Amino acid sequence: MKVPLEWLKEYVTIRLSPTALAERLTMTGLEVVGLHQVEKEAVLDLEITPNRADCLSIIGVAREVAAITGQRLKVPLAQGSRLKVQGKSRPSALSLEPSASVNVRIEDRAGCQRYIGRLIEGVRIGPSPDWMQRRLLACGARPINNVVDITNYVLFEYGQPLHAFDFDRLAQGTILIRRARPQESITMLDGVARTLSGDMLVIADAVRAVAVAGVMGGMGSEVAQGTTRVLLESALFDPISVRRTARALGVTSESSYRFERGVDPAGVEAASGRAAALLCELAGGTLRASVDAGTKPSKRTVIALDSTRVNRWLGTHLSPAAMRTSLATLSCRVAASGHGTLMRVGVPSFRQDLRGDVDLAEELARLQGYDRLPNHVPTSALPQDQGDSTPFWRLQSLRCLCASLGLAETISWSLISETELARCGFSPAQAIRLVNPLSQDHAYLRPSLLMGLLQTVRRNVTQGTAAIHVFEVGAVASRQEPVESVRLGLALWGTWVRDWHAHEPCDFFRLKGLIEMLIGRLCQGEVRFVPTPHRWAEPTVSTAVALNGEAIGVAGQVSRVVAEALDVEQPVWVAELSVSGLLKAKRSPTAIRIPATLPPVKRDLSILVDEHTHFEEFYRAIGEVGGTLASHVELIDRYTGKSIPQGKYSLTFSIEYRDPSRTLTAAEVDVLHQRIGQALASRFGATLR
Amino acid sequence: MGCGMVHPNVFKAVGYDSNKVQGFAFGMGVERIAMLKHGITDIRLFFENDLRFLEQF
Repeated sequence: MKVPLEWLKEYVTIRLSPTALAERLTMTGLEVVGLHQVEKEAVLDLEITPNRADCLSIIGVAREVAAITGQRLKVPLAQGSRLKVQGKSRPSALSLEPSASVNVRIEDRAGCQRYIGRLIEGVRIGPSPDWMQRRLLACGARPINNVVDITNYVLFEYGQPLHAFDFDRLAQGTILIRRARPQESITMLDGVARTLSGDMLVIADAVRAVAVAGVMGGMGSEVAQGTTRVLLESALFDPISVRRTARALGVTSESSYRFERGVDPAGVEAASGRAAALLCELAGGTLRASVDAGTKPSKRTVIALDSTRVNRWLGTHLSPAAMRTSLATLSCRVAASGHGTLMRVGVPSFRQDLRGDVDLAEELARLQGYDRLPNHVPTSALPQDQGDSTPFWRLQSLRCLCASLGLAETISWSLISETELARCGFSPAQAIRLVNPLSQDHAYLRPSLLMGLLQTVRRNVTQGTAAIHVFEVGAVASRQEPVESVRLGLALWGTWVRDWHAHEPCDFFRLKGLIEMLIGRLCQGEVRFVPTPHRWAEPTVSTAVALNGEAIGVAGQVSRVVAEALDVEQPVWVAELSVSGLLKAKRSPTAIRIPATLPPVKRDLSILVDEHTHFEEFYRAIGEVGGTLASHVELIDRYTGKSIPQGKYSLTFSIEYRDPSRTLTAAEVDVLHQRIGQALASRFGATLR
Repeated sequence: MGCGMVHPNVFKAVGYDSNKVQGFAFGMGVERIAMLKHGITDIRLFFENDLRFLEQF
């Protein structure tokens, strides 16, 4: 809101320099974001917080300046003798002569509390005086003609939006405040025709909508060259209704901006009088009729205030008398209410933001000066440190663990685009869409960390990185799981540096190994990778990760389609695990196995198997048949190539047989070893080599 | 840094008696502190996930 200083000075004496005034205003809550010179006049640019709708006017700011500098407000004398209605008058509808009857009816009381219409005749349209044009320009408005300029001038002066209709263009001289009819349309003053919906409030004449209430007038009833009779509107519209309508139509105006923040109910009449007086004085008009429909403003809000509570709240030692004086400068009426520390505070109509005692405490704090509030270190006991068992520290240790495994932590957006969703095989219907997204790139809550990880891979590949090993801990949410859950995501691409001369490509075993290592450190639980199709994964390298028999996530290779869409060379390895699933399985303190003292008997087992059988199945079968005696099973070779038939591969296991209580005989080991071989042959068709 | 007293309605919503407790809330963006500490000139670097940046931590 732009405030020309010379205009402000009309209502309040200012002894401070413009810079000093700007500083004072900022420190008491009306932030001055700029101090400009417009045609050698200083103009303050204020950023008014939404609660201070009362300061969206020159008089409002003057009132504030008066309060914080201890000056008196000089209210303009608007209602002069000129305002007497010429002719007979009746309160609600009045008929002057057959050709001029003004009829105002509020059909929708919820949307419009009060509507004052004044008919001014004999207006001569022309330019407004220079002084008025200069002020309007300084406030950022474009001068149009004397009638429109007067409505804008009073809007800036009082903060009350006004509208002037060409009375002769209103069918049957009627004003009806109603909701729009289905498919009703109107060409608004910005020249755009818009179709209205039934929940929008309009001002209509006997036939059609002539203005969108509180937002903007229509072209059809615009005051223009040749207008002689003006109907001046000053009304009180419902803030929520105006806000919804303005948003739905995509139109904001000085008028809607003020209505949606709440205008002063008492200002409706004062501003109407002021504008009518100016129309008579500057546009040669005569006031012929006044109609006041709706209800007059209700009584002041009264707030019970306890000075003890205020002092406890602010940490101050203000006396009740000092509080009374302070509040009185804000035009509050303060009455003691029996008990010494209690008072009843009547709030002025323009301060609709003051609703409870804390609001008054805030006023007292800012008038006192935030910089003058005493400093105290809090004296209450701080909650006891819960050590590393809090969710925060458990997550933190998970992050440290991932970093110690050689992964870099990444943070990506929790909001993603429809393209990213679709690319990873999620349908937009599964994901939660924002009602009002800032951009289409950030329209959905991510249902998975996959999208962010892939973006990270893509970005770093573009930068020419040879090796990408990253993780992310973050929240996800979807329609199936509307309560967000925290996940751990991993992504690998390129090489895995073992040492300075050995660079191996990342593969599924690297990813699997990392996950096993993680789980080993966290809980030593049993991990299984179960082949499971995922829409984002290559069909042959697509698994579900199970910890102690419970599914906790997914791991696999990103499919060719996804990689191509990202313009990243294959393979990309990713995994996503539920953090609660990972952390739930605690490491058991009794999980240690005592090292055996008796030596093991070692036997190797080489088999030739079908390439589609998973290693996991052999491994489990060996464990099953071997029982506790097969104390350690390790894969020591995997071979395909020369001498191996197409579609087969060779696996060599090293099996250690051991009984903690006795020495095993060679014969007994051979029997068991043979049984294992037979089991693999009969179950999986493996050929022993 | 934004700060302020907790509104009684907030206490009411979470089941505290605002006659018995009051709160002061304040906070600052962790990125900004990290920027000061490490001489980082662009806050977007934290979210670009460029490994040349991340690997320095």
